[in-house]
Amino acid sequence: MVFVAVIGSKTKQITIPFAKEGKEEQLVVIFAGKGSDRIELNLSAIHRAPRTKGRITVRGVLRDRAAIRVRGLIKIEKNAQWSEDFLDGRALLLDEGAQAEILPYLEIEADAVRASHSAAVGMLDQEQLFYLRSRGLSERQAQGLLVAGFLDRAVADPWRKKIASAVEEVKAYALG
Amino acid sequence: MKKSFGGLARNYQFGFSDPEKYVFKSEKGLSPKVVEKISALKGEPSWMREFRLRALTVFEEKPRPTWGADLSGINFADIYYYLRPTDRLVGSWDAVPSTIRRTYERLGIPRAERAFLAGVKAQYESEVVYGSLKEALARQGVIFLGMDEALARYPDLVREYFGTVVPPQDNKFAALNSAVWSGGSFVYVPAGVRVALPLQAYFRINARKMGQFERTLIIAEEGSFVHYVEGCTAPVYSVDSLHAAVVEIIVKRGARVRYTTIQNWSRNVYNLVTKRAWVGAEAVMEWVDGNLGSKVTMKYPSVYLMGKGARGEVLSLAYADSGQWLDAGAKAIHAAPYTSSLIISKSVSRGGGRTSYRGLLEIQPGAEGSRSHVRCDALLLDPRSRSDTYPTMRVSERRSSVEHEATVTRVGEEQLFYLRSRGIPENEAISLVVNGFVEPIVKNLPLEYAIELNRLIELEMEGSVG
Repeated sequence: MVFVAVIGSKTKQITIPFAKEGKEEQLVVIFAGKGSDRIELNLSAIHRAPRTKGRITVRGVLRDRAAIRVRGLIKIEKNAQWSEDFLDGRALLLDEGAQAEILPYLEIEADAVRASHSAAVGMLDQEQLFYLRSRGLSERQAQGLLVAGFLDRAVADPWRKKIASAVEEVKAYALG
Repeated sequence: MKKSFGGLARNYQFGFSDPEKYVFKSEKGLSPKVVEKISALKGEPSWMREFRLRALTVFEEKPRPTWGADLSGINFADIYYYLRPTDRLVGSWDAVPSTIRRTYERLGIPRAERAFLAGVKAQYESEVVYGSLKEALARQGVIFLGMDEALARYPDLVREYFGTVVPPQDNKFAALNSAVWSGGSFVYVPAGVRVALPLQAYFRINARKMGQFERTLIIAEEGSFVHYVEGCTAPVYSVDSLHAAVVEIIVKRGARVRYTTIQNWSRNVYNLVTKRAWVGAEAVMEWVDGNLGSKVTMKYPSVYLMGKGARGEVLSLAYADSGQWLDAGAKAIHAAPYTSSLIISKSVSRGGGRTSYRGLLEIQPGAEGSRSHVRCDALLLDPRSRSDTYPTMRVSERRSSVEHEATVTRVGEEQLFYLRSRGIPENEAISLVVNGFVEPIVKNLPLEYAIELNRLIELEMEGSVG
């Protein structure tokens, strides 16, 4: 797995080439922005060989007037039959003024493949917040729990311990 | 001065020169002189002539778009920008491509219709049907005319709205259309009026309607409803290789408009269309957009949700075969609170054809409580074909709900196997799957279009095996 934590104004370009048959790779990016941060992510997965498998997951939070633009390209070329890839991009906007732009592109030239993407932008679930606060947690503590949970779900269970400290750092930047 | 033009008598108070003084001579290429000639031949008011000339300047200044389908094949100097209807007739039935003639046969298109569709005849004899429809509409106060006629009879009404939803500065091809537009429809529905029968451009019995630079303007006053239908599933042979149409729709408070298009232009056509609706509070706009033909199509029906509670839906279908590139999609701009949009795109590529979904979903600051759902699915029927998805989601209002999903698939082995084990031959099985794939869009088409479309898909699939 290629794991990247992006904190504050940054431009990052990550390309994962799938040039050898059977290659499998997962790309996970978590991000946080605040103030007037501007984050630009240009991610691409280029499948050139058959039976390659990829997955791109992007999750992050923005507060104040921070903004992010995420370009995620999944390209499956003619020779990359039997390949698959999936992009999932989600952004949490913690304040009015925050802005997220997500551009999940697909360029598919082979037919026996599985390629899809999903994207969502929204805010913290008000009901979940209310529930935690009704249990005595402060607003900050409640937000912290929900944001941490949102971020570490970017990976499956076995990986969560490995990325825990990075998640904490990203969360602290956003809420600290 | 009193003049007769297209069967109407009018008073011109604008001091315009007598169009009969112009000797009509078709020429290629575009210039202020050509634009002035078009305006003069139509006997237009001076404000429209000025509008056209300003748009021509915008067209010349704007570069060609660097994104989207390949437009390098368009040679602007090599095009006739205005021809009389009789000039664009194909000489005879024999000149119509055999593939088109055969499709008419298989689809069971009536003989009289075939000649019209193929451009062999200028008129289609459905005068009787058209006549009674006009009476019913007139009683309701509904105006449904060709755009040229509407400009002549209701110049103030046209002037109030023309170019307000799609200004010439919007893009190069909107500017071109604004300079040389001809034909198209004008629809005005008074407040509270529901037009029960779909209005079909097809019935306006005018070859010019299927022209290169149609301009359509629809105004739905508060609480009204109208369904407008254009095009047909049967292939339409066009001698013109560049089509740049503009459709502007204004849906006022509480009104609803549905605009259905099925386009199946011949494979020599560049079809570049700007379609946009301004949607007021509590109003609803529905675009149902079917793209089957043309060499290149670039078309993104848009809904600008400007009033609280406005709703927009775009159902888009694209089917690209060998040599075609259909770049279609939708735009939804949420500029007011509690607005909602739904975009469903289904594209099918076959034989090396290429379909692209291109879309924009924008939630502006202050559009709280807005919801949007976008779903684009693509079906590839063989390894030679290509499908792309280029959506943009721009969210600046966190109190909103935006969901987007896209998938690319092919006809599954298990699906095919199951159908064949039930005794269905392979190409019929494939057409069953394709028809099922596009069903969410097709079920929203008027019945006769839906039937024709299904039949057309079956026809296409016959060639897809072996």
